[in-house]
Amino acid sequence: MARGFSHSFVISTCIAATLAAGCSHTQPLAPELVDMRKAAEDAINATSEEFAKAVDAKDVDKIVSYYTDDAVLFAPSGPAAVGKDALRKAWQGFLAGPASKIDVSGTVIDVAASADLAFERGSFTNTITDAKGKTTAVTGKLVDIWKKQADGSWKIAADTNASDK
Amino acid sequence: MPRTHSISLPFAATFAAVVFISCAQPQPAAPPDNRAADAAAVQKADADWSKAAQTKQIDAWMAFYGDEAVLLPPNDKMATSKDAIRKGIADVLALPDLSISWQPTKAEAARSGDLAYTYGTYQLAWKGAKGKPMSEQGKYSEVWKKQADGSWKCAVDMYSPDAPAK
Repeated sequence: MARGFSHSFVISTCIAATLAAGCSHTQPLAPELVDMRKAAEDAINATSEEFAKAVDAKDVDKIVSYYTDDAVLFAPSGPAAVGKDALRKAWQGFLAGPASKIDVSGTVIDVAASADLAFERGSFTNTITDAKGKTTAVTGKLVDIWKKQADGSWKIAADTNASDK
Repeated sequence: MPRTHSISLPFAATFAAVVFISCAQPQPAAPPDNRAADAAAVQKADADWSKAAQTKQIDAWMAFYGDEAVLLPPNDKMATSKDAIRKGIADVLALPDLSISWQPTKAEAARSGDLAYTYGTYQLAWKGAKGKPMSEQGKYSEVWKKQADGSWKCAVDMYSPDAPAK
């Protein structure tokens, strides 16, 4: 009798434990929305810094890698560049021009609750140095749309800019 | 031992069945993916906005901005208050014989249905100094936020001309 009792006790304990452990992971956990958005903002800021380094290094391949395949680039003037090939040409043209240093400031990043889409807006100063060493500062505003990729990285879907004057 | 064999097989089968059935109970459904519907709604709002702009009624235009909207026009500084945005729009609407329209070419929404963006092309035509016909074509990008009543309003509005820098 003792043996029979312990069998069914062990069996029911095993079932209970398995249900508790095995099924609990299928209950949707309440997402930590605030943490997800903060993590997204941090990731976007980190990626922006890497992007800026690539621009300083004039590494076109690296620059283009931060955009989605169907990304668009709206420069303050000139027609829209649509898709990676056009973006590459636009960046090559820009980097082949007079030496310029882009500084971005006052950025605000707003992340969707699902942390898959975000926008960043801010101001930029493009300091252009001509052949004689004279500098001109061109200021403007930017709005970037960021999309989270399948591998967890963030890429720019739209890089849009307007001049201040 | 024959006895343990005869217990363990039905036990294992029942065990597996109980676990399987319990875990197969209807779970709360994952949130539905409304991205395509939201993108379509935002694209429609943007197209409606263009129609409203064509009436030249400033209130009709302003109605599409949310409370915290910012306007980032070319050749001017960013407008961060409704009053400043209204002044910027009033300047555009004051252009003589103005015709204005825009078309979204892309719309996309976040999974959570709270944020979306559009971008597209715009055309302006007006009468300049001495009656000279003027025109401007350009590109714009907009960020949209869903309101409590389910409607979408523009939170960020940027545009810039296609013409090369002078």
